[in-house]
Amino acid sequence: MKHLNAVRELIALTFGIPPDQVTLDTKQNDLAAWDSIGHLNLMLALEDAFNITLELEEMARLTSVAALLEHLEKVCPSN
Amino acid sequence: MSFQLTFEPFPQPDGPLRYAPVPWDSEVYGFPFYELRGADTSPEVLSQHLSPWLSSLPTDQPCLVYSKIPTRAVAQAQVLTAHGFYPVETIAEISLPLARIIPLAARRPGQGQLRQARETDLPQVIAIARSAFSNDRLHLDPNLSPEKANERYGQWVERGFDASEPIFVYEDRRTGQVIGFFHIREIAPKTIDLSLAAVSRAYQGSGLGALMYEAVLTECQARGYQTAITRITINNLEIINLFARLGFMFRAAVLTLHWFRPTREKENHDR
Repeated sequence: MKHLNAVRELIALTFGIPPDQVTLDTKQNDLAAWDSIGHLNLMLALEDAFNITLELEEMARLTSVAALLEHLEKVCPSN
Repeated sequence: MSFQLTFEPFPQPDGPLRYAPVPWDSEVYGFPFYELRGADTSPEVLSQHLSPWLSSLPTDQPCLVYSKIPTRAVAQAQVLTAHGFYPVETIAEISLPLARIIPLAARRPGQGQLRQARETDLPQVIAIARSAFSNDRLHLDPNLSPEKANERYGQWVERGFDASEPIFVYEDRRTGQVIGFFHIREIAPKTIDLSLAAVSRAYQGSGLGALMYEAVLTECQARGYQTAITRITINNLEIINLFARLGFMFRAAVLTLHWFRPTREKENHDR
């Protein structure tokens, strides 16, 4: 769970909400600000923050904190 | 759709009630569809002529009539509902001066691209058209088959292809997969109508559709168009918010009502 805090902070910053509203179980449907444009901005922020490039099908799939963490473990593995 | 209806008067020869058969819907559903001009028909005329006209419609098969009126036309709505019409959809008519497009994101993923559709895209585009819609009157009316509604939208884009009307696709450069499409029409000098657009269900909610919308508008501006108009159902709040974010302004609201009669045989059986 190396990236959990970073992802929570990123989501909170992108959507303008307190980080404690973001948990491991949080999904797109749980947050009003996480609409399609919010999701786009989150994906771009994720690319910038972690210096990665997301494929479009990955962008469509990463709609929960759990999915984001799983993906980051693959592309930015914890040591 | 992009086709013109021929309105006929009732009663003949110059009656004040105006109605038109809708051939493309009638063909898909296998029974007559009509549009009744309610917007510019007074409540008094509707009261006088609606019953005789409805009674004159075929009874050996189902029949659907729709009428579109401004939401403020409460008197017309009252007469229509008194004759068995029921509300199915409210549409917002919106427009945007293309010079005022508001960018959605600081940058755009380079993996997606907008291009004009090719014939080889048709199967993917039709598949999207047949599965992407669910908030419109034809899907929501419990008297109508959602499968037929899907087929209708598929035929819409197919006819657009056949008529060489501009259709754009937004694709994943890496895989060639079509993420969404846009069917547009020039309806007046420098003015485009965003006639039909949809994003594949797999990509809905991802924001990529939003980029597609923005890219189409930017492309139209680059081609010299000045204004874009379209209509969206208020059931689709996500799209309404998207268009508002792009800078669209609301111009009018239209209420659509349906009148449906099954066959006489089914009517009698149900009594």
